[in-house]
Amino acid sequence: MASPDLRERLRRLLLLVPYVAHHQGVPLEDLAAFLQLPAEELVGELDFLLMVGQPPFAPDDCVDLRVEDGKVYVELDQAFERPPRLTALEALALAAAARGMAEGDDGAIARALGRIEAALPPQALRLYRDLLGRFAVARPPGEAKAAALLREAIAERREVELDYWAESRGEVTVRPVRPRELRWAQGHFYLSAFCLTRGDDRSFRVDRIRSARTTSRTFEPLPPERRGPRVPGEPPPPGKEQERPRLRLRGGSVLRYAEERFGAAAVEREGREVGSVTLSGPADAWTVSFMLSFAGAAEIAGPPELSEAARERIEKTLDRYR
Amino acid sequence: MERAERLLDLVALFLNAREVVSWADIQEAFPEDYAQGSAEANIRKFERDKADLLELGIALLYLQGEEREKDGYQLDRSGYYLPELGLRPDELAVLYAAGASALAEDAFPFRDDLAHALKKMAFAAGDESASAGRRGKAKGGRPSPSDPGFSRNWARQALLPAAGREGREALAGHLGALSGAVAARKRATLVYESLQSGERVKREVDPYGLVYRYGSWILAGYCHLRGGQRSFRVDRIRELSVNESKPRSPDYEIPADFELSKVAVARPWEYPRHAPIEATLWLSPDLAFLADRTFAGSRRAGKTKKGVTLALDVADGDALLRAVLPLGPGAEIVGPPELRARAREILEDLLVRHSAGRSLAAAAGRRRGRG
Repeated sequence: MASPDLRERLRRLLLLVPYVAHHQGVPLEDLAAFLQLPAEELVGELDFLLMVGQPPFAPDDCVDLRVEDGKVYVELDQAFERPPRLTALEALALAAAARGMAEGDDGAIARALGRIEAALPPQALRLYRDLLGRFAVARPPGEAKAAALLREAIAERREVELDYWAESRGEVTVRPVRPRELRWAQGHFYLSAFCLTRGDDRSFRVDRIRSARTTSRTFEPLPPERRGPRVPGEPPPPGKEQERPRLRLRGGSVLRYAEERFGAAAVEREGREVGSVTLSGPADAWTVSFMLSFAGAAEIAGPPELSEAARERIEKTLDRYR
Repeated sequence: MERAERLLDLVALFLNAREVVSWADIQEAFPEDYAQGSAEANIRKFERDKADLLELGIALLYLQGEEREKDGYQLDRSGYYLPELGLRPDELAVLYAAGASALAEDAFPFRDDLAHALKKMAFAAGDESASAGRRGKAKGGRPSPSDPGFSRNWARQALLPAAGREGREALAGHLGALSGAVAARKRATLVYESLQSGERVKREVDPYGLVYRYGSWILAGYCHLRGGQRSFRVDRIRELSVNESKPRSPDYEIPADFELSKVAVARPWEYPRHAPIEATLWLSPDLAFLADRTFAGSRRAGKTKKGVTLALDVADGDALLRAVLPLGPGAEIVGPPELRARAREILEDLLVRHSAGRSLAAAAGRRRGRG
């Protein structure tokens, strides 16, 4: 079997020549970005391609490419006019992604995959169908509609009004935002946006958006995000040093889970079955929810005011069971 | 001659050939590669090259002609070139969005294949919009997959550095190897660390399928150590090797009754840990919308004046508690009594644990700014 590196390289080169033939004068850096190749490496590959061709390898038998003022042209493509068809695995990867992560209407997904199938050679189609049942992505329920609307708003740079269930208040609040990007992490979509209420960048869990409305207000491209992506939980209020929230954990499996998720350095063990984890976010309502998601195997170890906030929430919840 | 160069030259030769190319023609065209060893070694080398091309989707066919002048190989040109796919903008957009989401994940099976597939889509899309005579330009200047800026963008997204969490590279490597094993049906040997016991155990597994669930990849397969079907979280596999001998012949059959959908349940409380029970859940008016989100698939058991009541099929009660308790007083497990009692027990225990040193904390709480 060809080594993965060789296969990658050949695939890239079989796409490179047709791409340039169809985009004569494409800037070198655009071509590099499209092929996901560092520019220096691309230059090396362009040189290499000059040797490729058909026997007897006279000058006219070889691929002829040139770079002029940072732009790439192809003179002789040697019948590399279009890339090869999709392979079974390429189609499979596309189908697995589309079935699991596409937001939007299922009809469009089915039609798209139908067209992909129709373009597969018979042998590849058999393998594709055989494999399709062996890869599955469990879709997050109910996020698709909101995600589709948000993606459209991001593309058109329109402000969106969210009815958002904020853990910090335990109620739905209206939040006008300038949407920046949808991210997919830990099995959920998150919206990163500039929140006009808070005047700052925020992350919103898409499944906690009760409803979203696109407005007619458009906005200029947003400046770079003030902090790196932070998912989940909300960023700490600026300029205030806070004591980091700590959870006390009980049970070996819970401790191992914490080490996996937050790194061994964040977990302090007091034995095989007991320990604590220090979280990097602020001591906020999210931390209380997170503690409760352990269903009894975790409690707030500090700071004291967070412990008190947890106690209030536990008491109110317990009232429903008394 | 370098292998990559030879393989590309072969493709060029066949794409330009007007008739079948005989073995003698091929040897003459590549004397250093196919004419220097023994006859057997030469043909073996060519067969290997042919197999490599097949993996790229390029099939060289051997034609034995009765009426033909000579026997030889041929590449079906129309079968080689990526055809126009005829994808409509909304279909293309859905594929792109899904592909970009998948590539932005830490790991995705067949990641490289996915990236290539998206590039081919971009190629075909650019082509089709050009051949359509630029009629009906994308509305409102919306980025279209055929415009270079768009591909630049998703390429950047796809190339996001896998920063942060430890073990991400190992995960991607293991997932890649397992995808290959699933596709080729090759046996895997893995050292798996159990979350329950923390112990590492080496086992042989026949990989049946891969499932992405709640942010993790799960390998489903037959475990030879336990003698039954099991599933494993790929990020808890500490060491992995896949049988490399005879890559093109499968090591096992997948039983006809194997159903991946049983592993691919969408909600944590549906994963079978005990006999299924029906649970009743109440949601406040503010949280009622979660009936179509977190609790999608549940049945309406009644819409009271305030909020909604849902009926759910539960096969892992603890998992339901883990989903419901964080919602606070806006959600309540109404039944069955045992699960409700368990919720109450947990909350009472937590209340005691959070009440120590309460007066001190209450004072601090009054000084607290934002919640």
